[in-house]
Formats: sequence, structure tokens, C-alpha cells
Amino acid sequence: MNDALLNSPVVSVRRAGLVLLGLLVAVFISIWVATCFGAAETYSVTEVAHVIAFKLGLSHEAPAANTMVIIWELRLPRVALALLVGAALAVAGALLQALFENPMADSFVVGVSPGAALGGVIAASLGFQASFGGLNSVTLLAFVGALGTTALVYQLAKRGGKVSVSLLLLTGLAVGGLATAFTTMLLMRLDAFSLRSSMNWLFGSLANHGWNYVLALAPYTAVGIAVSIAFWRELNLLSLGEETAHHLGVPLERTKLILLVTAALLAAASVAASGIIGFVGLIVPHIVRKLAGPNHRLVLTGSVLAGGLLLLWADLFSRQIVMSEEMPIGVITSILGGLFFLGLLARTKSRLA
Amino acid sequence: MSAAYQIDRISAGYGSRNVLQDVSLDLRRGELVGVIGPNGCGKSTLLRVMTGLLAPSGGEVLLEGNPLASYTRRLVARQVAVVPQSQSPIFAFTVREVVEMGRAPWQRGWNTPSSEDKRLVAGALEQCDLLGLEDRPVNELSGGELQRVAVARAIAQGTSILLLDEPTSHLDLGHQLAIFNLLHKLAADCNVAVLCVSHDLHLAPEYCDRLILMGRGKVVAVGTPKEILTQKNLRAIYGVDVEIHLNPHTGHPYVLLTRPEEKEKA
Repeated sequence: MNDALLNSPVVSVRRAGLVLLGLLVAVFISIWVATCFGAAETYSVTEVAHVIAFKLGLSHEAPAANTMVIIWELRLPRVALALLVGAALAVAGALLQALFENPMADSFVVGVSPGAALGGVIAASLGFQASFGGLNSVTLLAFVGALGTTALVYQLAKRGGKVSVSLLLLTGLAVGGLATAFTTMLLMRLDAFSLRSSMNWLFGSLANHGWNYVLALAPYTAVGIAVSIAFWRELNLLSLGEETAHHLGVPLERTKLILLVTAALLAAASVAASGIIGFVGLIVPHIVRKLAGPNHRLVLTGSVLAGGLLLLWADLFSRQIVMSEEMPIGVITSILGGLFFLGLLARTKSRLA
Repeated sequence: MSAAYQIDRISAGYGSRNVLQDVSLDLRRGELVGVIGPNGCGKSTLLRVMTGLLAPSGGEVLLEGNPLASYTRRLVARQVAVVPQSQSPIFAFTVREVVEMGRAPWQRGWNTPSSEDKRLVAGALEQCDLLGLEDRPVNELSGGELQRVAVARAIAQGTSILLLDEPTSHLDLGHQLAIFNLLHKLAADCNVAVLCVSHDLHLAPEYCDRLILMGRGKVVAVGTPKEILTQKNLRAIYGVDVEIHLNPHTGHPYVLLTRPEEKEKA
């Protein structure tokens, strides 16, 4: 035993620190880009800072009215929502991947996303109007649908007080498939206008949401992320396999339930806000693990930043790519995700050969 | 002093299928006990009951004199370390990170490993011949290397009881010998209670203080290797004819297999 052996992990800790710092810097630069540039007008940092300072009561000199509207009412809430939704999706993905010991798991596998979609489309087809805490009926029913499906999947996968992970995965796929079928059935019966708005929501969009939306979703996302990070050690142990986690002191059933509910809450909040944005939960933890290693202390904190970053840029793209109309952000992330995975598969193949 | 483990007439199974019937045994500090028996005789199920993964349908499991179920998972993990049968890790943790996770029952919060943790981890890496592999990702290791990582993690856990399920099944000759030597040393020098499921009828009788012979979900015989390894016992349990010889250097018994057709010729 020598000193080098005792001290060598320092290197990887430093590298992980650099990765987190780099992500943080990238997030700030991206916030600046997303707020200053846009279809309507380009603003300087000073103008943006002026608007923020005025709104926070730090400056008494009012900026121009249309500047204020574009920056404060349109761009900043959209940036904030992208960061929140991206972080929530990425962290939910990281949780489910550790829980299922499967790097391909995300919020689709436990039925969260299909359940949310069904809830949202039910609201649209019933045409009923309700609002609660700044959220409209589609958002509310999507939330209920997501949590309801997860609860159903969990109950169906339960055998004698225990939940086997493989049974959970299969039940999730089956229930998700059913939810998708019902969603399609309801969509076919909608009139042209409702169909169009439902499709826009389903494919994911961050448009047309104000601060009240951001504030309504922030608590769920914050609590979900905090709980996830508090369980970083258990997540590391679980990703070695359930039995090993048990032998190393993790109370399995309680921990699995807490993590599943947390993942469902995070995914539900994001789907409710912005529809189904695919692949973020899948790629982001994957990339963070590649950069900073598989330790969940870093995977989770890194996913918060990288998830927000990815969605912010996907949203910037979706605003710019088609001039006449906005492309749903879910389409952008799915294209990025699909290409990313094809690249990954190509590399895997060459290594196998 | 009470036994580390005391198992009293347990039955256990999966659904309606009963695998263990009326199994009793005890495990004391400072002894290395081998569990032998044919495939499907309930060896692994016995370990699942002892580690709390499977609740027995009858009987009692006492850990240091108290019912196993009366402890929290964390408290059990501070007393009992387990080396499960071979696993295939998905995520690219390094060998050191995985061995360090053996310290999890002793750690809390955001903390990084203490100097005590680092000392135990370094010791375990050295004892399992993993020096030089510390920074390799575990999902790129061979089956034998993984098995040594699992043993190292259990040793780093620093418990007074160690349970192992076929820890040498993927190991080469040199490492098989090294692991049994290590288990013997833990029992004899560090007063650890070691129970090891094994199919190795050379090394288990050579190193174990006692052998437990299982067959069809029951304990058939318990005793010293000489008492257990008899032609009669092995024919009854494994259905094969064998010769028992004594190691000329240590006097411990070992099993010599004979081919059935040679028997017929003779």
C-alpha cells in the first residue's frame, strides 16, 4: 500500500469539477444568447440587465415598453421554462436508468409520458376548462395522467409486497402502449382546430407560457431534483444491481418507491408544461456519464445543467429553423436524439467487429 | 458468546415451490464453513434467507442472537458482507469506486471517503490482487476479475461476518488458491465468521473448518471435511462413485473422480 494508491482519485474529482464548471458557464452564455437574440429584435446585455433590474425594483427608470414585453414577458419565461423542463427530464431519466439498471430507460418506460399525453388529450377532447395555480386544464389532466399511470404500473407490477424491476419495465411498456392507443383514438375524433392545438402540445412546445407557468412548475421540479440528489449514494448502489444494493444496506422497496414517485413527478411536471419532449432523459445522463463518470453525485448535478442547456438550444433552433412557423421542440430533440443514438450504435458496432 | 448466525429449522421457497425444508445450522466467529451440494439443492436459497433477500416461510434466523428482521438494512450491512454469484455491471464505475461502495453502510450525506475508508479499500484491493486494475471500468473486466472485485468490496465492508456464493467459479487456479487462502486468514487471524458456498471439492475441504453437505433442500450432514467427504455421502448426494484421498502434505481429504466406463471394465 503506498500514498499514490490512497490519493489517486483526486484526478477524477478535479475533472468532474471542471465538467460542472464548464456546464455552468455554458448555461449562462446560453441564457444570454437566448435572451438577446430572437426573431423580433436583438438587444444588448445592458438592455436585458436594465429590464431585469427594473422588474426587481433595482432601477426606477422604466425601459421602452416593447423591449420590456419582449424580454420580460416572452423571452425570459421561455428561457426559464426550457431550463426547468430540461433539468426535470434529464434527472428523471438518470433516476430511471439507475433504478432499472438500464441506460436505455427514460420516462416512456414506466408509462409517465404516454399517461401524461392521454391526460392532456382527454382534457382537449372533453373541452372542459379549469385552472389551478396558473395551470390550464390540459396541463392539469396531463399531470394527473402521468402520476396515475405510474401508480397503476407500480400496483400491477407488485407481487407479495415486492416490485421486481423487470416486471415494472414490462408492465410500463404495456400500460404505455395502451395509453398511446387511447390517445390516438381520441385524437382521431377531434375537430381540426383542437387536433392542431393538441398535436402542437403533444410534440412539445415551450411557446406562449408566461411567468405564472414557470412559477407553478418550479416547486415540483425543485423538490424532485433535491430528493434525487439526496439519494445519490443509493442510486450508485442500485446501479450495481438490486441485490448488491440490498447487501450494502439499502432498504430496497422503500427506496424504489421514493425514486419512482420522484421520477414520475419530474417527468409529469415537464410533460404537463411542454408536452412530450423525447430523448432528453435518454441522452443527457448518457453524455454526462461520458464526461464526468457514472457517480450519481455528478450525474445528477451535471444532468440538471446539461438538460437545461440542451433544451434551451433545441428551443432556439425550433424558433429559427422554420421561418414561417415554429417547429415543435420535441421534433428537434427527437432528431438530435435519433442521430446521437445512431452515432453511438455505429461506434459500438465497430468495437464489436 | 452467541453464534454469529443461528438458523433454526427454516423452510423457504418461491411461490408454492418449497426449496428449503427444516434447515438448521450455526456459524461462529473465527471459522470458515463450506456449503457443498449438487445444483438446485438450495445452497443459494439458504444464502438468500440468511441475507434477508427472501423471508423464510417457517423457522427463525438469528443474527448475533437477535432476529434478522429486527435490524435495519444498514445495521445488517455493517455486520454482514455478501459476495453474490457473478454479476454483469452496466455502468462504467472504476474498480476502486465499486470497492469503495463497500464502505457505503458506514457513510452518510455528501461525504467523500474518510482516511479509514481509503485505508480499508486500499487493503482490500491489494488482498484481491487488484492493484493496477483500480482505474479500469468494471464493465470491461473479465468474469474472474469481476469476482475478485466483488470479494474486495465485501472485505472493504469490514464486517465480522462474510457470506460468499461460489466466489471462485470463474477464477484461474492461482486466484482460486489465493481467495481460499484469504478466506482462511480472515477466519483464523481476524476472527471473521465465513460461510462459503462452493462446488470445489479440492479447495473447500482443504481450507474449511467444517463442511455442510446439502441435498434436496435439506442439510444432510455437518462435520469436519473428513467426516463429510465419504464415498457413501457423495454417492448418495451426487450419484457418482468417487475415491477419497488424503493430501499427503496436510492430511486433508480431496475427491478423485473416476470415469464410469473404467469402473465397468474393472
